[in-house]
Amino acid sequence: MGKRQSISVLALTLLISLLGVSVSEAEESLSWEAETGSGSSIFLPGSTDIWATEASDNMKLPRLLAFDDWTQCWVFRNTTWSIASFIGNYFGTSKTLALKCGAAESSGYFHILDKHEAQWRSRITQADSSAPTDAWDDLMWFAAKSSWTDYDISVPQGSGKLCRSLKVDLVSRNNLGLEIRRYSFNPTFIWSLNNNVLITAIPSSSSAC
Amino acid sequence: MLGERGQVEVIVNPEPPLRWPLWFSNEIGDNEEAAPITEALKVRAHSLHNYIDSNATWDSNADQYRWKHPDNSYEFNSLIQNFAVDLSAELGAKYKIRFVRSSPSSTGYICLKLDK
Repeated sequence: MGKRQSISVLALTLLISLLGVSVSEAEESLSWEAETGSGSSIFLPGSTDIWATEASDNMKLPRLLAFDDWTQCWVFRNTTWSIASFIGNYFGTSKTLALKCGAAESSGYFHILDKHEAQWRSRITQADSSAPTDAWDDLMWFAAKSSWTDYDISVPQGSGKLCRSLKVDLVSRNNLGLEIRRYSFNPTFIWSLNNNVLITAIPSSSSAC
Repeated sequence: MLGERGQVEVIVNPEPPLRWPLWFSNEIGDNEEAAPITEALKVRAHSLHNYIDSNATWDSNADQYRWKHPDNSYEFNSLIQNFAVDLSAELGAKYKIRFVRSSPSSTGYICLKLDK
């Protein structure tokens, strides 16, 4: 090996070792985010969730329910209160689709809270075991909305029910900004097209439609 | 997530449109193939869904299921409780089983509540 080659190998070894240190240091400060449609829609907890965008800069808390939603759902038990909504399109017809307070035994926020909260939270800890999981409902609603733009499966189930599923990628970024794909799951959403509401949201591994 | 005394929690919830009712609170999650139970018990797990499919109807106005017959609520609870007992026996003390029950509803709608 000539002198020039030895220097090249030494420089390459040094570079690899420096990168190795950088990556291992970077991985100490992981966070998570969710993507649908191969990255066409991105959810950043505490940043792109509904509460964060409605709240002032110094109140960026990852909560789907704003104060008035919380009051209507938890204090007044107003089952028909709309927590959040968006415009969706179904075979050329525009629909305002909402997440309502609902009730544990039927549909909506309380139903999802009662049956699937722990499962949504566990999806976050699967991506980052040390991450707070309070944004579970924001993640759920992000994926629910995405099921109207990026869905993989759409199955009418009769009686005005529509089942939709899509792939959600949970990724982390190190402090170099490099994306580390943690895992994917395929949540299942049941919508009522009669009442234009979300009935349930199940963070299933594979589509249940 | 581990339950009391470090047990893995297993929730039994045959909510439509799911086809597999078990959810382990560890890496198994809702993966049927990874569930550490016998094939015979897996068949019984599926039968919980079959019972709801055969005995409930969807009320599209109220967005809720109704049992077709007043006895369905009792039968469902008996079915799922027996299943939970046998599931607990197969899985052993490292697992804590929780399951939904059908509560009586004055409106006739199915009210599935998770035991606390």
